[in-house]
Amino acid sequence: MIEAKDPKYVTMCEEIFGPVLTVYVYPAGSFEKTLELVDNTSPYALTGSVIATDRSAVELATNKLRNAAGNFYINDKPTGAVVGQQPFGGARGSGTNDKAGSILNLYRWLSPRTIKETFNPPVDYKYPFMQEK
Amino acid sequence: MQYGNFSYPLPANEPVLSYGPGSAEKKRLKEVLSELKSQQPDIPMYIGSKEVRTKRKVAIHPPHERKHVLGYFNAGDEKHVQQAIEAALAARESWSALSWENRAGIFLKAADLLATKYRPYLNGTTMLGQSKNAFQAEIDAACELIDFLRFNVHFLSEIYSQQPVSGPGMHNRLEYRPLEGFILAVTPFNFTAIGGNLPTSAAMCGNVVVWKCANTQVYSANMFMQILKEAGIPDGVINLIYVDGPTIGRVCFNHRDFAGVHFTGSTGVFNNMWETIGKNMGNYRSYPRIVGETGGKDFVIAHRSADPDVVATALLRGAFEFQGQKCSAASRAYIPSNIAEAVKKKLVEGVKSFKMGTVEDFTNFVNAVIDEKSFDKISEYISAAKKTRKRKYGLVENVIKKKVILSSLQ
Repeated sequence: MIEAKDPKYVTMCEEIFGPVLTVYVYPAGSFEKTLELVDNTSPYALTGSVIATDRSAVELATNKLRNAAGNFYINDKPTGAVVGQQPFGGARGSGTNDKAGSILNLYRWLSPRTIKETFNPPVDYKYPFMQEK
Repeated sequence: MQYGNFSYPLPANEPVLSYGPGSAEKKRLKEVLSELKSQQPDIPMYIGSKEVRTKRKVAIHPPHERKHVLGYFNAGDEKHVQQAIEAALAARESWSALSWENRAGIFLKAADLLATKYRPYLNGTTMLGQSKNAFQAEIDAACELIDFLRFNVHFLSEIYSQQPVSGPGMHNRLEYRPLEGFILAVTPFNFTAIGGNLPTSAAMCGNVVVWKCANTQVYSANMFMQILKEAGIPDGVINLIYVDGPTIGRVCFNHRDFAGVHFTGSTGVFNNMWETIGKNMGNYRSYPRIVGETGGKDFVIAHRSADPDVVATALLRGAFEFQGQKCSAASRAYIPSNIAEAVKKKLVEGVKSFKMGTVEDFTNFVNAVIDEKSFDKISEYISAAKKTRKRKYGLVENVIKKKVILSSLQ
């Protein structure tokens, strides 16, 4: 665990893919400003959590962080997505957000063919509007 | 010929077994772990109907017990990529023509085989090969993969039923064709379920697949391939090969019949893939589908109204389960000053209490990181942070450092 005094310290920004957690302590009154920091600190947008009992704080975070995560958690950890319950994936540097294990993903592996079958095909090219000046 | 619109209702999620004290599943899993450790399979590549072995045998070690050999896999080269593509394309006509209920049946059977007799085997190979504890393996290799297979069958049947309206004197319909060519699935070490899902989701739609798993996941990927074979997947529909990424890319992305890539891994690799595909655009029969899930720098932000215990627990689980090697792992936390001391205290206590070691000792919460390369990369970040300590940044505790080092040196 690392406590960073600089919210843009390298371990706050780069993916390490290991058991390293970096903590930044912000002034309790600067929640909204800190949400901007959360949104702008890394190139990724996969998962994230807000933990609060104040409903307006939950709402503010949900709105401000709309594009900061493809899987957004309220009062929970950001891991443990379940198939069919929390379709998983993110945008920005985190991928194409095609949500593996959801219906959205399967569309990517299909190429629809539209078929129209007419039962009583016309036999004259002229349309009714052409019958008077 | 289909004489009915068969239904595949929304399944329920596979229940997670607890592996609690004295449970039957725990006893069985322990038996299977010893059985697996007593063997050293010579794991082939699966190309068409052939099990392909080469002269390049690569030993597989548990990340937490480097001296032990779990088996060997047969590394391939460029010609195996070509053979896998040829085998896939040869299987395409009959596979894409097979009725939906018979395609669906294969994946539903695979899910049931995995839920029953193969459950401890796919969990066991995941535990030993990827250093996951029993619970982490259960929610990944068993439950998530079973869910992927069953839910995708349901979702695909929903897609097939989405049809346009028809005006008077006509009938309109949509058929959802598989793509014209082969799909490349490139899968990561961290989830056995993703390894299984990326090739099967595309194959289920009637596509044929070349599957390249991470070298560090071959052990469990091989087990899943055996499940698919037993479930009746025809030869050539999914071809599993162990060839380095650049070689795979060179062959697949230059092939006229390359129809798409289903990827999970690093952002850098995915960007390279996209660029290479872009450069080769003129060579393809169709515009390839590029689908990828890459990295994350996942956050937890606590508000001043948050309960410190809730924050600390979310972080301890979210950041350290499976050694933080989930794409979704919490790795940056923003804690308000009013609860910072309480949260830090809980975090330090929590980390100090983590028990770490092999996966066979079920009391361990933390196991090893996947390999030496990963260990070195993590260590560099930690050393750099330590060096800055006296200047600008501070380390809360050194506890984790010792734990990480222990885990990979054993």
